[in-house]
Amino acid sequence: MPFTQAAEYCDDAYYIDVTLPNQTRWDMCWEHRGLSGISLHHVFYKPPKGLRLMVLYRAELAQVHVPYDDNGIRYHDITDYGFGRSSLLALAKEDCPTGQLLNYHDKSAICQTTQNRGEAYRLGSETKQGHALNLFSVSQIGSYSYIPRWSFADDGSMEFSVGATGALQRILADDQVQRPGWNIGYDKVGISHLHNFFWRLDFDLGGQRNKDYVEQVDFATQDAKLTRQSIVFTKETASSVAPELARTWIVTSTVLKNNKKQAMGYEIQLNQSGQRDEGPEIEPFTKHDLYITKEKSCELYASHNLSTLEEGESCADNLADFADGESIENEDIVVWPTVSFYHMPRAEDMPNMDAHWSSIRLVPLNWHNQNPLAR
Amino acid sequence: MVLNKQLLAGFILASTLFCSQTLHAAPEPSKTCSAANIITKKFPSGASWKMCAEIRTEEGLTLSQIYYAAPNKSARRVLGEASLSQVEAIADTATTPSYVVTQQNLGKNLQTLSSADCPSGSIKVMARVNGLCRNTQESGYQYKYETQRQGSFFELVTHYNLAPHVYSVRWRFYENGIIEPALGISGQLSKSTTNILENFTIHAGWRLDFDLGNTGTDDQIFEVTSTPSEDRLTKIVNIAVLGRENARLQDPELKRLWVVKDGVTPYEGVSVPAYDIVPNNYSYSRVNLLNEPWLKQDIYFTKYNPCERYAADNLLNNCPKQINNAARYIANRESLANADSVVWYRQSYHHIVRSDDGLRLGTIWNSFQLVPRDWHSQNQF
Repeated sequence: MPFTQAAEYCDDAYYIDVTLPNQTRWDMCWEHRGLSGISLHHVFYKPPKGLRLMVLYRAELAQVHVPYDDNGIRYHDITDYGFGRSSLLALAKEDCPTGQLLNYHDKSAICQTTQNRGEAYRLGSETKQGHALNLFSVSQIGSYSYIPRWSFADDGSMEFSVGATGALQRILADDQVQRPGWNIGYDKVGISHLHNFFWRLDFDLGGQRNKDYVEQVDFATQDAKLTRQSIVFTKETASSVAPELARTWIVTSTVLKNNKKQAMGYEIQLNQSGQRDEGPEIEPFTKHDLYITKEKSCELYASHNLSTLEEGESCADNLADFADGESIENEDIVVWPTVSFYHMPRAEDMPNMDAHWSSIRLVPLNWHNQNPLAR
Repeated sequence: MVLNKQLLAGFILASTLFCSQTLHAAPEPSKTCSAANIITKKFPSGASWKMCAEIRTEEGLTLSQIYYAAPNKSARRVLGEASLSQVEAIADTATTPSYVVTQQNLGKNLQTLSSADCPSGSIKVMARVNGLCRNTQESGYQYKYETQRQGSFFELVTHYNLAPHVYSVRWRFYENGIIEPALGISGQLSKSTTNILENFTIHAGWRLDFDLGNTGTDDQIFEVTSTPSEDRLTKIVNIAVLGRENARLQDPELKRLWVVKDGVTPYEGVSVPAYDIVPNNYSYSRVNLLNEPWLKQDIYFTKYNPCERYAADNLLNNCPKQINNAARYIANRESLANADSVVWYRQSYHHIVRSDDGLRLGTIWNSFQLVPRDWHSQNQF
């Protein structure tokens, strides 16, 4: 029998091609990286009755920054330890009871599941159940197990999350006047801390490298209406949530149009920004919730990027330096969404700490001519 | 450990309550729960939830006397009563507010479900309608470290058909004590006079009458803040009692955290059991087109008052007509000491209409969590 390679962009062993029950198809390649852990590339989405189009050229976690409130330590887990190699745990069947394990060489690195996500829509008694493809891996750093999870739904939306579980990393005796955290019982204080999560998303909508642009959309009350005010970013920039304006961001392509001639794109929703944290001067990459930069192959990590370079290489160190105003018109752009989890420890976090989750959502906007799951 | 007699007596009383549901320590909804309305869920681990469910003409699914028990532990009450007490869905060009719970009688429109609508669960008859889907789902890792445990949750889902819109109310009860209420919206978007689909905002007002433990009148509300130092390298944690009726905004700068604590008596001699209120959707939280008072704050803390039932448009018979929304409930700053406290959480979401909403609006869910804090002296799993 002749050997046929199904995947165009990677070896078949690292190709995921799933058609969900409603006939939506997602396919992508994945690879193992020493620092980022699992990295996805060539991510394609095909609605039940539409074209298969690339959404993301590459996607990976770009930093997990964990500063403690007593300033005892400020971890940069992705660059300083790495989510791959020995940190990336081999998963057993019990880690993935309803799914399928995917191997990196002889290590089971990813659990792939198809999950029922409840009703996709309802109108009166007419309804349809929706599903999503979920991929997760586990990286153990110190006392923490991090669970990067990538979810691809049958309506084209994506949710990228990280669960944090394991055990509290830092516990002190409760003997200070100013308690730097919470008394978790037994005269112990769990030190309060942040987990700042950063993703690096290289959208190439429709597979076109230099045709994406990012629009910031605000809704101001004007003339007794919520009035749309939008800015198209033409230069590298950073932006933050604005709750009084319901600010959101849309990545669109200049060449992809729906049948109403609207630009097809994805909305980036940062719903969980309530624990956003602007850190000290030395951590300028924490100032904003979303960064847009020109793609550079050496700019891979939101912070401590310099520490990852080989001798003789030069590059900028962190997001604040990456976003230095270069033109992004007709350039390949990278979007860096962030979310923070502020952890005030509780007695329940010992001895085992249940997972807490942080996520961002990417939702199709004018991508389909109608709801892709409706008849 | 010294066994506190009073505490022990409390447990016995709690288990009595758990069985009969006819006695109430709290001074409010002292109605009985008919056997048909009792909902229980016991996980294989032994963890369990028990509550009374009813469908009200206005709020729809209303839960009361919600008890949680960790494996091999006695059940303790978390909430005396909880409901989605108001929903407002308004277009970006709206000129008047419109209240779904009170003006459209959300609950009266409970949708009948078929078994296909509740594929892995079971449907319970509520208000003579096959309307409540009870379901248990695996939720992946509960924890993972040297050992791992897979967790699950029990959920109650109801839908309300207000054609062309459908609202869904979903409560998830996790095995580890976390409660996650959610509001969904789906259906068909209506066209304005210009024949263009319009952007809209959906505001939900959740009423959470916490009654932790045996006594509903000894709960205390705390606000925990973490103030950054001038160089922003450290944060100082401060815990303050909210002693009077109050309204607050989320504040990322101070990381405001609201904790409802059960009086002052430690459980198992260690810490005082509590629940955190964990908001979501900060990014949309201050949209207020019509400058409505109840939308100006994220969270309200009030003293229980039978006249205060809806977060907005509260126009009950025989109640003062001016005191018609959460902003008014707190106006007289009544003391919360030895009072039954009620928490009102308001959550908003702004939706940009898109071609993808054509024919059918895919269900948009907005949720938040109530998370146990020091409810036990350590993780029970």
